Amino acid sequence: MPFNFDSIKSVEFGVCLEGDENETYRIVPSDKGVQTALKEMLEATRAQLFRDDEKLVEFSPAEKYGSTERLYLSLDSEFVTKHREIFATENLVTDTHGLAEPKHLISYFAIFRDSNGDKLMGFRRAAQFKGVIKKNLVTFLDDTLKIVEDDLFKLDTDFDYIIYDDQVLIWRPSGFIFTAGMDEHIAACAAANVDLVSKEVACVDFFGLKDFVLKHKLSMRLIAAIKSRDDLADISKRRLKAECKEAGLKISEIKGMLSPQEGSEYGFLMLLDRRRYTVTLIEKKPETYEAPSRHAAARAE
Amino acid sequence: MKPPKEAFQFTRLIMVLSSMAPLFLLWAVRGSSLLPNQYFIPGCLFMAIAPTGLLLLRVRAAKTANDCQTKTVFRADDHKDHILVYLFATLLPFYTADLQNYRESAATLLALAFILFLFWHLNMHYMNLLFALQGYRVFTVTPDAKDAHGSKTPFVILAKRTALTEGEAIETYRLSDTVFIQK
Repeated sequence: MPFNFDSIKSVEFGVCLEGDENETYRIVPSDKGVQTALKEMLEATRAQLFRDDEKLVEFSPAEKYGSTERLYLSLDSEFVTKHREIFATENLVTDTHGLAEPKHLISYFAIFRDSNGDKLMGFRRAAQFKGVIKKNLVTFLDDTLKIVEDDLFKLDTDFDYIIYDDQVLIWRPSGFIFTAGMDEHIAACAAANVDLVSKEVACVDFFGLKDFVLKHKLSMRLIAAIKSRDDLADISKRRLKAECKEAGLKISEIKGMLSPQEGSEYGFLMLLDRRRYTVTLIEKKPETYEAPSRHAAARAE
Repeated sequence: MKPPKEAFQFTRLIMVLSSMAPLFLLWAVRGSSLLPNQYFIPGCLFMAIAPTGLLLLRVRAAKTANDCQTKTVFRADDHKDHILVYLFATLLPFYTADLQNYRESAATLLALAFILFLFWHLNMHYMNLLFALQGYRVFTVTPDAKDAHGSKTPFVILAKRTALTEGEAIETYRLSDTVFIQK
C-alpha cells in the first residue's frame, strides 16, 4: 500500500552517530511536541517536493545540483545501499543519551508509520544541531533576558530527503550525498564501474581511461552516472567519433577501438554522459560548452 | 561507539520493588514481633503500594508523552513460566521467612536486597503481578541477528495476546529501554 500521509499513526525520532568504525543509528525517545514538529517537517518537505505538480527528476551522481531540487531515486539504486539497509532495519537501539555528544552527530531522522503500518523515514544532516549549541541563547522567563544554560537542539523546518514506497525523494541533494556516503561508495566501485561500462561500449578502449578515472573524483562520479545509463550498447562508433571531433576532443583509433588522448579524458567522459556539447551558430566558429547541470529538453517533431 | 547507557536506572529499581508487592502484603498479614503492628503493617503496605503507584505513573507518563516505539517480532517466546518461577521459587522462601528475631530479619532483608539487585541488573522489572492481573502476558522478543543496524539485545513486550507472530509490527509504549507494553 502507498504511504498515507493523512493517517500518520506514530512518529519516532532518531540520530545517526559517528562511531569508531561504522555509523550507528539510535532511537531517542521524544514527546508529543517533538513528534508534532517532525510531522510539520514532513509536511513542509512534501509540500516542497510536490509543488505545482512539477515532475521529479532522477538523481544523477555526476550532476551539479542547486541547494534544493526535486529528485528521486529508486530504493534499488546502488547509490542508496546504505539507506536501503537502514530503511529495512527494525528494532533500532534505544539511546536516551543519543544527543549527549553532538560532535558525533551525522544526521537525525524520523520514522513515521501510517495506519496500515507502512513506513516513511525522513533524514536531515545535523548541521544546525551541531551549530546552535555553540551560541548563547536567551529567554524571557520572567520579563528579563537570561542565558539558557542547558544544551539546546534545533530541529530544522524540513528534511533533506525522505524514503518510502521503495523510493528516495530528495529535496536537498547536498544533505543526501553527504549522509549517503556516496563519494566513498563511488570511489570504491570506480574500477568495477569502468569495467562494466567497457563491456557495454564495445567501440571504446577503456584501458587507459581506468587509471585516469581512479585519480579524479569528478571522473568517478561521471563513470558512475554513465554506468547507470541503459542505452550504452546503442552508442554508434561513427557518431561518437563525429561528436568527439565536433567537441574538440582528441581521440586515437587502434585496432578499431577509440580512446581519448591525454588531456581529452575528462571531456570524453563528459561527452559520454551528454555533458559536453558544441553549438555552431557562426560559420566556422564552433563553441563548445560543458554542462555540469543539465536536463533533457523536449524536441519539436 | 559505546553501547548506550540504559535509561530509568532508579525507576527500574522501583519497578523491581513493585514486583515484590505480594511479599510485602503477606508480611503485613503475618506481622512481626519485632515491630508493633501500627508501624509494621503501614510500612509493609507502603512498600507494596508506593512502588506500584510509581510504576503506574511511569505507564501514564509514557502514554501522556506518546513515548511509543514500533517493535517488530523476529522470534517471540511466551515466558509465563517466568512469573511462576518468580512467584513461587523466588518469593516462596521469603513468605515463610522468620521475622521474629533481629538476626533472621536482617538475613532476610539482605537476601531480599540481593534479589532486588539481580532483578534490577538483569532487567527483570517486567515480572509483576499487576501486569498479570491486567491480563498481560510476557513475551521475550529476539531481534533478527542479521539486521545490520538493528538491536541485537532481546527485549520484552507485555501484550494481552496469546501469541506474537513472526514479522508482526506491534505499537508499544516504552516502560524502559528493554520493556515495552502493547498500545
